[in-house]
This record gives sequence, structure tokens and C-alpha cells, in this order.
Amino acid sequence: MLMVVRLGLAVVLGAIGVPGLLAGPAQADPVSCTPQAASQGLCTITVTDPGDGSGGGSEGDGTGTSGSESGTGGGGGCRLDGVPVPCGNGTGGVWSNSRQCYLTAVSDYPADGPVWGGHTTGGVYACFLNGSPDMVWLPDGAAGGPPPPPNPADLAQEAVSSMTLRAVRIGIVPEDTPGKVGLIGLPTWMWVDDPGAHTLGPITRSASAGGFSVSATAKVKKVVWKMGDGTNVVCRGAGTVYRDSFGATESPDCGHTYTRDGRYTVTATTYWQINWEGMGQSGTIPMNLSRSTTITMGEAQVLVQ
Amino acid sequence: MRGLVTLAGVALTGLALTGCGGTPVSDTPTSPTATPATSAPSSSAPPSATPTLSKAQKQAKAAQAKVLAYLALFDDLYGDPSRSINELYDVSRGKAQEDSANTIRWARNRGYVGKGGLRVTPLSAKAKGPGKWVVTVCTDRRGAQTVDKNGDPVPAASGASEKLKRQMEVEKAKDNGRLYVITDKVVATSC
Repeated sequence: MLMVVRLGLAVVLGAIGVPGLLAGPAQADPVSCTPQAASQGLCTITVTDPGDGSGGGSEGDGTGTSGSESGTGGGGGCRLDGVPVPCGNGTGGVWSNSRQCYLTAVSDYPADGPVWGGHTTGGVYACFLNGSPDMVWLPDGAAGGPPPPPNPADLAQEAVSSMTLRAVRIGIVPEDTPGKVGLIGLPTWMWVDDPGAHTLGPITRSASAGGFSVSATAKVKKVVWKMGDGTNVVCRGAGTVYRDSFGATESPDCGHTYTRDGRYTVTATTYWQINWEGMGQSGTIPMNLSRSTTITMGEAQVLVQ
Repeated sequence: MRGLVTLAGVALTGLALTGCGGTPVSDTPTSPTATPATSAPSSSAPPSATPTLSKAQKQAKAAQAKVLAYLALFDDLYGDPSRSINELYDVSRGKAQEDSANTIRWARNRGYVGKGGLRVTPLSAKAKGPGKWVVTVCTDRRGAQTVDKNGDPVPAASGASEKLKRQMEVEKAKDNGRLYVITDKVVATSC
């Protein structure tokens, strides 16, 4: 791995011997070599000095930037020495690749505390992985600061959106086609004509952002059929597809019998139970989807199914 | 306190000091000697004939003392995981503090501990502007060793120099008037 350190007019090239050391706060790259580490022999910095002897000049930014980041140092997400780690620690801490620790805002840090370092904006964070945390100051919205964790409920919504849930296609006898008329007093059968993961569930999808992930599972609890005559029929499943051989029998699990003729708008509403969990939280999202059709019921002299 | 920084063969009053706008009296490294390790360097060691320092020289001397305290503290924290990294805020701010904290944290996360300490030879201290100085030192790690959680030495990176010439910027904080090391960088791999 290579590193370039800008140093005033001097060009400093470094061969990094230790992955995981850190660059400046603006560097998300966790692979660098600090002067302190180099002094301990933990990494190597090769300096090409222009020989002006001043050494001072502009301080530059003194920031290490990595060239080729290979091996364990590569990859996105939250990593410690290149090894993926959870981006959240379950207690509100957010992983910082540049600090190699979990950061938690310290709201009650004294205003005259040394960590502020003379700053009057930004915030103080506890930085911890193992053992006691140390404190760091981070500017408001700085690149070096911890990205705000996504709202898990938002991620859950995103996961639900990816499910492409849809209302059921209505299966019903008498059919909802012109000329078809159901007979008063004979059973009406209702069923879900397109049962599947997207209409009844169960279906599970995940959504991720900033290294966080939320998983959601959706399943229909019930299908409520509004029959148009003031009756609501609650069916727990998809219902049974009618076949001619069934004759005038009632549906075993999802049916109705009209007592008056007329045109009825039948609406099937699926009530979903969507449970999500992630980022140490969980919740439910209510959802219902509806579709309607119109059937005609008539007296006995009218042709029936 | 391990007293890790060895101030090699030079008393602060013998350093190359220069005032604001001046040029350093000397930028020649003092030859390292087998000076026994001492605690954080002090400016109290009186030479036989104490020269009279100008205000600017005294300020540069104070800046240099801050750098040495900073290096000593780093060694102490690097070698003693029970001590809080927050102590760095006593002597450093900005990138110097951040890099130091990150390095110590990096080591602690892996169970690494420093043994021994850097040998530090002050080279120069120059005023850079109002309330700001540039201090150059030479660090020598031949008396230092990083060990892992089993106590086994962590091999040095291939080609890592034993001596580094480091240049640090010291600034007088506007909020409290104290001196802090704010930048720390390697300017040469020999000294």
C-alpha cells in the first residue's frame, strides 16, 4: 500500500506497513500512517525532501491519503482492520472508520472541557470499542464525523416498497363479466385469483443504508370482502376456486349469499401484517390494499352460472 | 509514568532557539549520547553558565518543552492502556491530538502496548508567527518496542526507519492562553 503525505513543498511517499491507522478527520479512508505510528516502527514513511532545509513552510494539511487500498483495508461499509464490523453497536453508537471506534454523542460534556479544544461549534463524542472510551470533538456535519444513522422505520418502509405488494385479483362467481348474472339464494364464491407472495405473503425483504440493515416480513392476516349489500365477509385465506362440479354448494371457506337482486360492487381488501426489525429496533407497519369489481344478481328465471 | 522519552544529550537551554522573524542559531542535531532515560523533559536543569534568553527565545523554549511533554505523554499512554487517551488534550489539539489518539486507540484495540520509549533529540524551535512555533525533533525508536497481547514483540514494518525527523507546530490557544501541539509530521527519515 502506498500513501502520499503532502508536506508543504516536500513530497512524502509512504509505504504503509500497518493497515488500520488513521488519516485526518476528513479522510474516510482508515488506512494511513501517522507520524506517531511511524516513529514506533509500525509503518514506514519515506520522505523525499526538496532540500530547502526549511522544513517549515506551509504546514499543508498533513493529511495522509491512501493510494492503493488493497487487501484487508479495502471494501466499503464499517470495517476494523478491513474486517466488517456492525455499523451500530445496539446502544446508539455509530461506527467510525476513521476513528476505529463507536461514536456516541455526549450531550452533557462541559462547555469548558478540554475536548472542545477551543471550538464553539460541533460536538463531543465518546469514542469506544474496548475498554474505557476517550472523547473526541467533531465539527458539525463534517466529513470526518459519524454519518447520522438512517431511521430504521424509513429503512423498513423501503424494504416494504421493494416487496411490490399489490391488491388481489378478485375471483368470484357469479363472474363480473357482462351478461353473467348470479341467482338470488344461491351461494356466491369468492377467492383470490392470483395468490402469491406479492398478494398474500409471506414475503421478506431487507433494506440497507450506511451499513445498517432492516428486515421486514409481510403477510396477509385476512381478506375482507365487502359484498355491496352491507355484508362484510372475512376470509382468512385465499378462498376456494369455484368449479362447475361444485354446483350449488357453498364455498367451504369464503362465500356469501345475496338475498336481493341488483348490481353489487364487491371489494376485496387484504390486511397486511408487516413486522420489521433491525438496528436494535422493531415495529409493525399497517397496510391494506383493495380492489373492486361489480357483479349482478337476479331472480331465478335469469340464467345462472 | 514510564518516563519514556529520553531527552538525548542536550539541555533545553542549549537548543537552537530563535525568535520571531529570526533564523535558527543552529539546526544541527545534537549527537545522541547514552544519556539515561529521564522523565518528561524539564527546563529546570541549570547549565553552569545560564545565558540570558530573550522573550522570544523563552517562548520558543516553552514551545519546545511542550513538544517534549507531548512526546513523553504519547509514550506513556502508548505503554499504559489503563490511562485515558483524553490526557492528550492537556498538551495537544487538532490533528496532532487526533493522530496520536487514533494511533493509541489503534494499538489498544489490538492489545498492543509500547515498551521502553522514544529517544528524543530536540533540533530547533522557531517562531512561525504570532503565538505559533515550529519545533523540530529527532526521534529514535531503538529503545522502544511494541509488544502484542502475549508480550511478543510486534515486528517493525519492513524498511521502517529507526530515526525520524519530526516537525511539530505549537500554538498558543486563544481561548485559554496555553500552548498546544497542533500538528505533527515526519519531515525526514534520518536525523
